[in-house]
Amino acid sequence: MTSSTFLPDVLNILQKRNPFVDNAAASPWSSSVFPDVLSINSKPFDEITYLISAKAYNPEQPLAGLILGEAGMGKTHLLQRILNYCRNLDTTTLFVFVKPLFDPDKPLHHLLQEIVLNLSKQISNKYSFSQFERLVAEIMRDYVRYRVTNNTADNTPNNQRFLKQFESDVFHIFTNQQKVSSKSMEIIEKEAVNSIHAQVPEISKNFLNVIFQYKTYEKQGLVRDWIKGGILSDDDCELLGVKSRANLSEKALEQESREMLLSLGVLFQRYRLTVVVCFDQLDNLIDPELVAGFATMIHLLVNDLSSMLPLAFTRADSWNERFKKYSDRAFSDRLECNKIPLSNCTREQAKELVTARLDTVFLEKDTNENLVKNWFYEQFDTKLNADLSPREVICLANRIIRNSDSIPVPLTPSENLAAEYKIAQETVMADFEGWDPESEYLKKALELWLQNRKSVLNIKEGKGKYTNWTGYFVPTTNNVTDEEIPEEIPEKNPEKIPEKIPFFFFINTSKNWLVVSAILRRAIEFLNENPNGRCVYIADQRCNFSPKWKANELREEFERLGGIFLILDPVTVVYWYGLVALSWKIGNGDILFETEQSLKTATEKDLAVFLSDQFEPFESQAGFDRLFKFS
Amino acid sequence: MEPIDLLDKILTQIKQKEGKNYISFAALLSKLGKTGRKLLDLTETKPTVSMTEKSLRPYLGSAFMILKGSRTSFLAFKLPIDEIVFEVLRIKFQKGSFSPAQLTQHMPMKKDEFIACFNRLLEAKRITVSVNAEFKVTVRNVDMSRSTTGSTTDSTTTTAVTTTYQPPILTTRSQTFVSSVLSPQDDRRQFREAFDELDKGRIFVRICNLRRQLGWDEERFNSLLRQFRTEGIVQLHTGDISSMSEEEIAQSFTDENNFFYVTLTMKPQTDIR
Repeated sequence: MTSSTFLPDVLNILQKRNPFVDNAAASPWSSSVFPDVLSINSKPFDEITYLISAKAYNPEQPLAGLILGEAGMGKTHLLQRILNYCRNLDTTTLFVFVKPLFDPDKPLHHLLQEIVLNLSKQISNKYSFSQFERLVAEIMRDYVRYRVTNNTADNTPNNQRFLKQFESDVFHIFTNQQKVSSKSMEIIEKEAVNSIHAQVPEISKNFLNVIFQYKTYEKQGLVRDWIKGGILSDDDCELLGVKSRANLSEKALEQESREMLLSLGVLFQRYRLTVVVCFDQLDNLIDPELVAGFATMIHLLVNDLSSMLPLAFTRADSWNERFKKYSDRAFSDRLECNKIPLSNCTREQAKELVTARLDTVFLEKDTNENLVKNWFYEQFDTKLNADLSPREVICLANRIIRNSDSIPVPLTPSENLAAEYKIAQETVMADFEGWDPESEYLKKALELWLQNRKSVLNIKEGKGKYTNWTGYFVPTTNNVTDEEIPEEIPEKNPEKIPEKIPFFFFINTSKNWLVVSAILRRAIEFLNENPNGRCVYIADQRCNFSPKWKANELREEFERLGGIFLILDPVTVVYWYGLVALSWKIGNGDILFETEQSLKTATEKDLAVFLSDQFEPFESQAGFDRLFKFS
Repeated sequence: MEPIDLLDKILTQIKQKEGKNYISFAALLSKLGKTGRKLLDLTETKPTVSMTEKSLRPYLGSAFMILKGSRTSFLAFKLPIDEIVFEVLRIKFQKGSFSPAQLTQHMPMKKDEFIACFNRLLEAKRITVSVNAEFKVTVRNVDMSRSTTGSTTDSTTTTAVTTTYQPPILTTRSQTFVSSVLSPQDDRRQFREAFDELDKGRIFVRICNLRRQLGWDEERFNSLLRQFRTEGIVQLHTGDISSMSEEEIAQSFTDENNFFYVTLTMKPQTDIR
C-alpha cells in the first residue's frame, strides 16, 4: 500500500489532533504542553550555563550575557531551560524573569519588584518552599553554624545534632518548625539579625527583621510588598515594624529601591547564592528613556550586585538598530562581552522537533502511528529545504496537515489577535502571582483601549503624582454619529463639538490611605470644576478600599458628586493585564499568522484594528464598558 | 576551622602545586587527616566513595562539586567542566608529550565526557591540532587569550600532546559544500566580503543593506542567497520591520515557502573556504 492510498485517514487523524497549531511559547514560568527539544540551541545553552558556573565560582567577576535571536528562534524555550537548570542546581542558583520596563523614572523600583516577585515562586518541584525562604533559611543556618562552632557553651550534643540536620537540609528549620519552639526561634532570629548586622553593617537591621518575617505564612504578602518598595497601609507598617513610605517622593522611593537591591545583593553573595536575572521582550523598550532605564538596571547588576548575572534576550535587529546606538557605550559593551547568538534548526533538529510533537498525538498505542508518521515525514522532507527557525518548522508542519482538500480560509489579523488575546489572558492566569497590582500595567491597558475608541478625544496623561488619564468623551447617540467625530477637538473652535464630556480616570495600586486620600481630593476637585465630567477611580481588587481607611469621608463625597469606583476583581483584571501581555508580544514580534500569501508578523496597526473593530465581545468582561456608561 | 574552609584550603593547595582544580577522594581523605575527617563526620577507618560523597554533599554549595571518573570520584571547584579540562591540558603541555590513554585515566570524568570536552575546546579554537602520517594528533597550540567569560589573559603557546585521531564525521552539509560549484567563486567571495564589511560584530546583517552594498541585480543576489542557504552557509531570519522603510522591506527576501526574511547570519569564513 502506498502512502497516498490512506491519505484521507491520515489527514483525519492529524487534523483532529493537530500538534502544530500552537507555535509560540507562553512564559518561562508556564509549563509547556510540548517537550523541549534539547538539541535546539544547545550551544547557546551551554554557553549560558558556563556563564552561570563562572559567576557562581567567582561572584566578584562582573559578568553579563546578551542572547541574540529573532522572533521564533526559541528564546522563551531557552529561558524555560535555564529556569529548569537553575532549579536542578541544588537550589543554589535562583532564577528571575524581568518583565519589560514601563516607567523610565523608576527602573530600580521595577527591577526590585520583579526580583521579589520571582523569589516568591516555588524553588523547584522537589521543595514546596520559595526562593525567598531559601535565603531566610541560609541566614539562619549560617547563624546556628557560627554559634555552635564558635561558642563553647552552645557546642552541646543537641545543638550539634540540630546543626548536622540543618547542614544536610537547608529547609530543616521550616520542615521541622514544630520541633523548634517559637521562643527559641525568636531568640535565634533576634541574635542572627544583630550578628549579621555587626558583620555586614551595610544591611539595615530593619531589612533583616522584615526578611525573617517571611517565614510566617500570613505575613508573606506584606513582606513581599514592603521589600519590593510598595506603599503599605499604616496598620500593615505597624505589623511589620517599619516606617510608612506614604510621604516619600518618587526620587526617594527609587533611592530606597536601590538600597534594597544592594542589601539583597550582599545577602546573596554572603550565602553563595547566584541569581540569574533574565530580561526578555526588550523590543518593547522603544523610547530612549526606557533604554536608559534598562542601562541603569544593567549597570547596577553588573557593578554593584556581584551575586547577580544579568542575561538580556533580544531580537538581534533591535539590538543592532536601537540598543547599540544608545549613547552609553559602557552599557552595550558590557552586554556584548558575552554575545550569544541563537541559530535556526538544522534539518535533523527540525525532524526531532516535529517528532516530539507528533509523539504527543500518539500517547496511547495506536496501530496507525507508523503509517501516519511515515506519511507526514515524506511530506515534510520535500518541504524542508533549509535551516529554519523552530517556529517556521512548526508552521511548515501545520501547513502540511492543513493542506487537504478543505483548506480553511486564513483568519483575518483581528481574528488571530482575538485568539492570541485569549492565550495572553491564560498566560496571566497561569502566573497570576507574577502579576502583582501594578498601576503602570493598568495604565497601559487603559491607554490601549482609550486610544482606539472613536468617541474618545484628546487623551493625555494627567498632571500630578498619581497615574491618570484625561480627555473628552463624545456620546454618539444624539446629534453626532461615529463618522462625524473628528480626531481631535479643534483648539481654536472647541464649541464645534458641544456635547463633549471631560473625563479623568485615576488608577491606584497603593494600599495606603494617605495616597488614596490624595487621589480622592484631586478627583473631587475635578468633579467640582466639571459637574458634567466623568471621573472613575480604578483599582485592582487586591488593593481595594478598606473600611478602616480614614479616607472614607472623601469616598462618600466623591460618590455624591457622581464619581465611580471600578474595582477590578481577579477575573476582570486578567483582561487588563492580558491586553498588556498581548501588546508586549506584538512589540517583540512574537505573533505570527498565516495570510493567503505569506507568514505575517502582527504589528501595532493590527492591534489597533483589533481594539477598535473586534474588541466588543471583551469590553463588558474587562469592565471597560462601565467607564462611559451613564445611568 | 569550618569544613567548607578546610576543603577550600586543600583544593587551593592542589591548584597551586599541581594546577588541578580537583582532587580524588582517596587523596582528599589522606589530606584531611584525622581532625579534618572528624570535622566532616567521616569517622570510619576506610570510608567508601558513597560515604565520602554523603559527608561532602552538605558543604558543596556553589563553590564545589563532585565529579565521577571512570574509577573513582573527585571533589572539584565548581567550574565549567571545559575549563577544568583546559587547565589540565595547559599544564600537561608544559611538561611534555603523553598518550591520550594516560590523559583519560587522570581526568575527573568518564572517557566519553572527556572526549566531548576535548572536541568542544577544539571547536572553540582554544586548542589546535595537527595530524601526522600515522594519524596521531599533536596539539600545536593552546590559545590562552580565549575565554568564554570575556576576560583575557596572556597568550601562551605550548606544544606536544598526542592523542588518537578520530576522523571527523562528514555531515551532509559538509559534503554539499565540498561539491558546491554552482556560483562563480568571485561572487561567493564578494558576497562574503560585503557581509564582513556590514557585520562588524552585529552577527545579524540586514538583507537590504547587503543587497545595496553589492549592487547586483535581483536575480544574481537571490540565487546566490538561495545557494548559500541550501549549503547551510547562510541562515535567514525574520528581523524587525517596525523601523524599516517600505523600500527596505521590499529589498528583503521571501522564500519558496512564502516566509519573509529581513536579516541573515553567515557561518565563519574558515568554514566556507
